[in-house]
Amino acid sequence: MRENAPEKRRSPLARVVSLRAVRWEALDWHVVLLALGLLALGLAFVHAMHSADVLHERPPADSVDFDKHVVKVLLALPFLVLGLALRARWLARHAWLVYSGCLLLLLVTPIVGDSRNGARRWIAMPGGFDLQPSELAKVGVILMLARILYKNKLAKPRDWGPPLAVALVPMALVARQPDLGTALSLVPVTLGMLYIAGARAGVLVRFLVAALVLGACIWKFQFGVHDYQLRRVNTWVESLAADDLIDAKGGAAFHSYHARVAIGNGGWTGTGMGEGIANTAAHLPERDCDSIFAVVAEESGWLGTAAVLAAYTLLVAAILGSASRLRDRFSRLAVAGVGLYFAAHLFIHAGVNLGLIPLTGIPLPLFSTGGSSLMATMLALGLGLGLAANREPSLDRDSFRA
Amino acid sequence: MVVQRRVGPLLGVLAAGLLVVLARAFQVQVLQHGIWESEAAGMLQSSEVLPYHRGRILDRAGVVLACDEEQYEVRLCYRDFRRGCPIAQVAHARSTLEMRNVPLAEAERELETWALEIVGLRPLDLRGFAEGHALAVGHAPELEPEERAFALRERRAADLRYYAAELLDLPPRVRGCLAPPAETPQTALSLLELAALARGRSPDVQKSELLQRLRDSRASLAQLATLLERDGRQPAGDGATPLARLLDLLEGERREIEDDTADALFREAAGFAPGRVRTRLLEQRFDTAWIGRALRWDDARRHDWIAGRRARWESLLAEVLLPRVLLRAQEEPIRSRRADRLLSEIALLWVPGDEIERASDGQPRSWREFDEPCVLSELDSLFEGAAGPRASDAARAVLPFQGEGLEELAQQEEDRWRIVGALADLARGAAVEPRVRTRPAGWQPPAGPLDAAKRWRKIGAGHRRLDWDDGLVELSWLCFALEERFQDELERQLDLVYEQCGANAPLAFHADRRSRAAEAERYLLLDRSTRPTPLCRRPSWDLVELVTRGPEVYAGFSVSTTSTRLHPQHDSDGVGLAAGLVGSVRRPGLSDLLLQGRERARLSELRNKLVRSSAEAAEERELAARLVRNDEWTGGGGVEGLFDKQLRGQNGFQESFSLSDEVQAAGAELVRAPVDGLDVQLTLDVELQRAAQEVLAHPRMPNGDDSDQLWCRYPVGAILLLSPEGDVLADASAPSRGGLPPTPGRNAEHSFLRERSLQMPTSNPPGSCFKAFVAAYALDRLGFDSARSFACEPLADGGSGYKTMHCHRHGSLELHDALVRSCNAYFGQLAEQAFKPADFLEMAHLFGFGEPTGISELDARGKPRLLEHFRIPEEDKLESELRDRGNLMRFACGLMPMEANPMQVARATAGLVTGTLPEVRLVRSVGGEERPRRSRPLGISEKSLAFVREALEGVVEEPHGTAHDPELSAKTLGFRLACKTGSADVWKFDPDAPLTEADRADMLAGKWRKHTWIAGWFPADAPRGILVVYLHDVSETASKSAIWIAAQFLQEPAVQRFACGEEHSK
Repeated sequence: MRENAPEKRRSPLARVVSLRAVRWEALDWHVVLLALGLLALGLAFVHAMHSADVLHERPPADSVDFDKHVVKVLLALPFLVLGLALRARWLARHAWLVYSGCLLLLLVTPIVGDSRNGARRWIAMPGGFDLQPSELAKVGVILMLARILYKNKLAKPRDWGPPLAVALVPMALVARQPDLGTALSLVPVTLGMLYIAGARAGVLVRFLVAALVLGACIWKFQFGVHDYQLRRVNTWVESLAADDLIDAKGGAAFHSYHARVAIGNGGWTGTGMGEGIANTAAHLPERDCDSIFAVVAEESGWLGTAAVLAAYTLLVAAILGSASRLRDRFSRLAVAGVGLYFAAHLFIHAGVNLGLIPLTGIPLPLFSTGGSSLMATMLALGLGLGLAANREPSLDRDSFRA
Repeated sequence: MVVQRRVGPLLGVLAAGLLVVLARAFQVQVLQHGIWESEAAGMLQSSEVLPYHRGRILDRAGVVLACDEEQYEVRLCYRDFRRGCPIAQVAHARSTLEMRNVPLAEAERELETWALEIVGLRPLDLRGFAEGHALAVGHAPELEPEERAFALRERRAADLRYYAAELLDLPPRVRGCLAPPAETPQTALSLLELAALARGRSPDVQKSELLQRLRDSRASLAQLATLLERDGRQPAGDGATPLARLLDLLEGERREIEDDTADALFREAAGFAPGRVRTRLLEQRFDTAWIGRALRWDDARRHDWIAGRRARWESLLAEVLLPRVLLRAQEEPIRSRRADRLLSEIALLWVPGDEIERASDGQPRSWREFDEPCVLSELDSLFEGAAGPRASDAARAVLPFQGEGLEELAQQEEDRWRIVGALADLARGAAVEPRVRTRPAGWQPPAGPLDAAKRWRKIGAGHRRLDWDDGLVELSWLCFALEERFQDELERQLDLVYEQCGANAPLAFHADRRSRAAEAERYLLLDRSTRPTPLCRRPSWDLVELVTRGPEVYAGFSVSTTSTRLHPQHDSDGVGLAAGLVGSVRRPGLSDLLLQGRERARLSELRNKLVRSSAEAAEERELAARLVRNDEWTGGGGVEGLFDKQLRGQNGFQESFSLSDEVQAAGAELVRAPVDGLDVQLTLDVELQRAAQEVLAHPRMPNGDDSDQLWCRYPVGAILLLSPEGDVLADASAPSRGGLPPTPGRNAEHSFLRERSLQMPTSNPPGSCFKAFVAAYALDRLGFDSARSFACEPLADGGSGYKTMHCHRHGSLELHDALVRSCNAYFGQLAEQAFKPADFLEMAHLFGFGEPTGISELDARGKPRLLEHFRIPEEDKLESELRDRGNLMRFACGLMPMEANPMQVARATAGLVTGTLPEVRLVRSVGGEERPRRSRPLGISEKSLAFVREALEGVVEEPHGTAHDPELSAKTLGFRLACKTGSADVWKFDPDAPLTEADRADMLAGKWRKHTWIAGWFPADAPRGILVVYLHDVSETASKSAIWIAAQFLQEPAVQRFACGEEHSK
């Protein structure tokens, strides 16, 4: 059998990336189709935004640039292929390299990064492209956690240290940018991967409760976070009800208000693509990125929203399902991490727009514009697909478990 | 399996999460769909009030006397000017660089040099500058690390890049080239070179293009400046050229905007306006350096701003806030509650801004609920590191509203004004003066609470209104005294805080407050600088064309349409025809807006209420139609005021579901069309009016000792022309403008603009004109025999006449001759022998004296709404006064105590002519609907009237007639005039006044100053016009004054045509 043939001498590059290591017949084509379908849907919605901007003759600064988004998608697709092609064994051995690279980028961002609106999150790259290292860091954390948890079954309390450190260090660096939303999106990924690695649910629940209590204390006593972050929590608390949100629309609840208006305006069947208030009035901030769910919800209605959510959840479930069938622990953890990555983004993004969670900016992968997010998404998806279809056998203990 | 068991629960959590999100989405999208759909609709929906056109005022032939006209107005939006004009770009860029307010004029002088310096900067330089390094251009120093946080270098670098891009006229899509990535070779190129590179041209070409743009911009602005000055905008500053003066003007706008923005920033951080604190405290206790940095001010400019705040606030208090307090107190419908309302409105002046509440009916929170005053209420959390004043000090009541004394008094006192008096007493001790424009001479602060209460009781005694002038004086003193107390305590508490902090520099605001202000900063800057300012009203077509054809050339300048009330008919001096009668319009005043306050609040509530029932939508349209717009004309006086309700129309209403700022016609739904006001047609004839005004403006009398040339130079009087039916054909008054110099040596009436046909500002006896009515009455009602004669003989004192009635020794006369010659002696004896006092009163009223002429509708109290002095002074005592023989005789001759205005004389003359006493009519029709003529029978027989008419014809035609003059002859005029002259001595010459030589000679000759009259009709045989000429304060009799003015008028071509029966047509 081909996979049992003795390994030929490979070039250094082939040890890292090789499409030949992919079992194309084992590729989760349904995941590919779901992902590409969602990507196409995302493109359609962004195109509709762009068309609405052209119709209303909005200046470039206020418009969504569809052409630029297509270019970014096209530039990100090779990362899907890269993710597919990265060899599992190399990743398992060199995850620390990827993680360190991501950490390095996070460390230099405050030094060389561009400052915008009081945050330093982007590094200007040649060709006019801005790299947001925190997006790549998510992939780095997934890989490194998979590596750490490959051997670590979390049997003893001291076993928790390394994986928590792996997650907390980049979280802290990202939070300092400041980008609390991205930092917090790593929490469900980390917790989920710990669970899959063998952590007891009870312990994780206790961690979660402790984190919530800590968060509540931070909010109450106002330390360690910026004023505007505390104000967002206060605003969320004060505007849970529709009337309160409408009353506060002119102040700090501006973004939440417009997101809620857009979503609520959708009704059962939606307003139609490009016809929603989010695109016609264009008051909704970040409608092509952090608030794209509101646009999708408005223009497709509850029925359409349910379909999109179901498709997305199906994508996550399919990835997790792929993970569950993998014998190799590292691949299993990494693929599960990818599934959790999509799940975390979906629920945080939707939750913020629906007012379930205080306002924080986080893109919806496969829908939102943003080059770094697309790149990280494609890379993660590629990794998820590639590791699941990996030819390389694993001899770890888990491989022999039923 | 283990693994699958692990993934299973995760899938379960995933499913649960999906259900939660779906449920929430269902709640928002389906269950709350109505709410959010309405909110969404509200974003698209906009409504616009469509203004109506105010009705026109026309003359009898339809000539327009007043109408609305749309006109252009040139406006300035400073923000667009700053962003689009190279001079402003350079000035603001330089200000950003040097952190001082670089004036536009200075930028214009250094335009090319500084522009090249800005575009000569390199991204490397800007990056270094942003990081706190020195920059040679603008001498920006190297910053210490601790200074970098405050210096806003990053923002300033971004601003410089922006201005450079604007100077280089770079399109937005290539502006990224000015910020190349670090460590690339492009960072070492200048912005000019980078722009040239992006555009594919050489730097030299780019540079010459820039210089050409600068030259063109300067030239264009200079051209605009010239046209603006030509078209009437007063230049500001002392610039030598129109451009320099325009830049000075724009600099003034900039200063105002920056001052306003600084005020708003301070208010955002502090919670109160900077002017609420004394200048010394503002300077020494409050750190305002951050405001200076935000606005790129140096310390000198910032201190300038600080120095002006207190004076500005005090001026606002005196000129706006206090009148508003009084107006609102006046609004209180229940008189017994007026004092409490006043107290509550006064208390509101010290309530913190966010606590000012009013009920839906406009009632303020009661003064009893006054807690802590503004500024002091913020003190605890105002400054970084300060814990606020000690509790015991903080509890000290600063204002009387805080203490219990006033509250206890309120519970005991029924007379509420005593509480106001107590407040005034508590405010005493502060050495302040009331800040009002005119203060009663000898005013002193109240001596105590009872005195204060008495004053306020008197002020508030009016049925509907407070005594405004006195009220404002007392209120001003009271509030400034309270403010003085407040400031003293504020100073004490701020000093305490300062000591507690152990500071030796102004205190910084608390970080939260600073961050709040920093968040609002961008919006405040944008808001203030985008408000348009009118620069030139009624610009010429050249100016309109210049501004509109090149909006990018004249960035910030725009043309908009506005409406004005036009009076197209003028006399040769440019004075509007019948301006006083037509009246004036004004924009709504504070009281107009306050009166509609409740309805405005309701309209605003309906507009914000996006889910409206059909009844509410109808109510919204109704309110929009009814409420006065801020820019709407409203009648101020005259016909404009009298018929304001009819002249005003109703605003229309249009709703739009469009997103553009201006409602697009295609997307708009006209809900209600505006209804224009009704036209009001007057009885005036514009040509006759013009003739009357011209004559009064340029009166002529023959030269000679017998004519009053001084009056001709300072004319004061009226010319009236009515139809026999009582229609006012012409009504002119002199002077036609206010503020003219008074007549030397005589009274000051020449300085006052009045409607002299209706008003009697001084004693106004009609003189011998009155004799005609006396004669008619005597013949008809008293059975007087016209053939009876009386003597006019020499008197013991050397004069001639009868008893105290001096005359000209006419000898023995019958009634006809007595009228022709105007014999005072005859009429004195007539009065003595035939009349009783009651007869005179009856006679006066019979001919309409002592009552309104009907020119104006009457108000609820029976007074004419157009100001008309119609009463005979002290008429209730007249009958007893007339028991005095001297008064009786004088009354018969039209002298004091008899007084009348020219309109009454004209009306009575019309009665003489027609036998019916008409109501004077000024308004012929409203909205095409004719207003009826009213009259009543005079009650004098035709025989008696005919006798008097014949005598009045003789006044002109017979050789001894007092109006017998070639200028009034039928030969000269082309028709016959019948009239009665009248002269009434009123004042002696004042020897201490600066008399002219002629007046001094007259004084020495024993003459008196008098009013003179002509009252008559023409043509005598077929009357078409009733004429009254009235000259005020002349030195000669009517025969040597009024008749010449009458002659001048009757010889006017328009009058000639009228007399011949030619109707004036458009």
